[in-house]
Amino acid sequence: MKKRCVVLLLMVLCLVSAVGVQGYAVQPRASEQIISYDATLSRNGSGRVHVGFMIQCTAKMDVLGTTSIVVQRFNGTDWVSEYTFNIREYPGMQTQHQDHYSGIVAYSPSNPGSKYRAMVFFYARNSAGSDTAVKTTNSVIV
Amino acid sequence: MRKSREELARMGSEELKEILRLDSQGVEEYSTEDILYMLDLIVQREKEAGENHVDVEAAWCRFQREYLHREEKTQAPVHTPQVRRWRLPRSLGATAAALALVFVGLFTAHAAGWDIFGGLAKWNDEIFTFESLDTETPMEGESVESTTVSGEPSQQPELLTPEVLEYDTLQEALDACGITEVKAPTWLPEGSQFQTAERICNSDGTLYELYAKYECQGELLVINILPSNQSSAYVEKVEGNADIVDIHGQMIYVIENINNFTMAWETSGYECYLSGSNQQILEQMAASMLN
Repeated sequence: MKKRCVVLLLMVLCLVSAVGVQGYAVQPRASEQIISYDATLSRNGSGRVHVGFMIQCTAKMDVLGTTSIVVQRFNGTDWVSEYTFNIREYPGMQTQHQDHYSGIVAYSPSNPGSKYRAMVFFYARNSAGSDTAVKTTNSVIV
Repeated sequence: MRKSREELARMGSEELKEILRLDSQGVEEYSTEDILYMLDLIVQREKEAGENHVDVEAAWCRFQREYLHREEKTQAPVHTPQVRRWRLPRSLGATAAALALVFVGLFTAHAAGWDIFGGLAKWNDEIFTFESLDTETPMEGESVESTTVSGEPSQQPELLTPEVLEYDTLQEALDACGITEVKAPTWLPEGSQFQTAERICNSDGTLYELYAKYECQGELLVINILPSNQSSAYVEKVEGNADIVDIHGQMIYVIENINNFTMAWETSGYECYLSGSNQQILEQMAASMLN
């Protein structure tokens, strides 16, 4: 019985190992346009949320920056979107003919004392094509 | 023509990306919620495409069949003393084989991007980062609440212009920030030209990034130095492992993208990223920054 348990344990370990091997063999993505990107959420002295973002591209792009920044609040159960900065209302979220761009958006939270985070959607386009990326910031109680 | 969400859901990812591209160029056809919905769809599909479903049942059956097959062969002559002598080594062999498989699995998962043994950096087949990769992606149907914003102009949501200070050299920018943990490169490839060194700050002076750019034979050499106290940058990469090299005692990750490489390392308080198309040049530059 003991031996059977050991054998079973070993078989399970082997299966977990095999699943581990195949499970992480995901499709390649990479980017011809984007090298790196970052987004950080912080609280300034007056209680406003500041979301700073940065995108570094492989060369000068026709367009680069963010398409939208969604500020979210944790309501105790879920993250709910509270405000969205989008390119139509804030065209300065993107620039042209640069390889690097950074910016900051500021927002006054509707529920001070809650935990906030932001989802930043990056975008870059040149003659070879375009690419998008998304990063969720750290969360901060504001 | 504007499409309904049902129609959007039936469209391919490339078509959705084209709509997003047009939207980013100011073609106002869709609401913010629709744009988020499309982004959600793309993210979900890419996530699903990345999940390689394993037929665990088949693997289990195959393992059992192969394992039992061996058992059947060894069980028949079990009454002879010679076979009894073989039983212990055989079970040890099975144990060793199983452990070997586990280790192969761990190493392969490591090679596939999980820094199981290091624990310092994380990567998968898409990105490299010094922070956890467990952050959530936006999900379809996530609720959106409308917001009442105070009428004071200063309380309105706004896009701020970061404070950008330019310097003649990266070392000057580092000195101005009081950063001693990172040094500017003292070696640059022949023919390279300094382009810019910028300190990017919030209005209250909080440092977001130091950025320096050099040009060498039409190629960019870029240095991004970020404070590592709040978050970590994501670096795009091709499938496979990030290499690790030791330069002057500093562990450096070499991340390969489609047409470029990034060398990434962490000092106390800062993340350093050095990017360009030639790995050897980057290694020499990094060595001069760490000497």
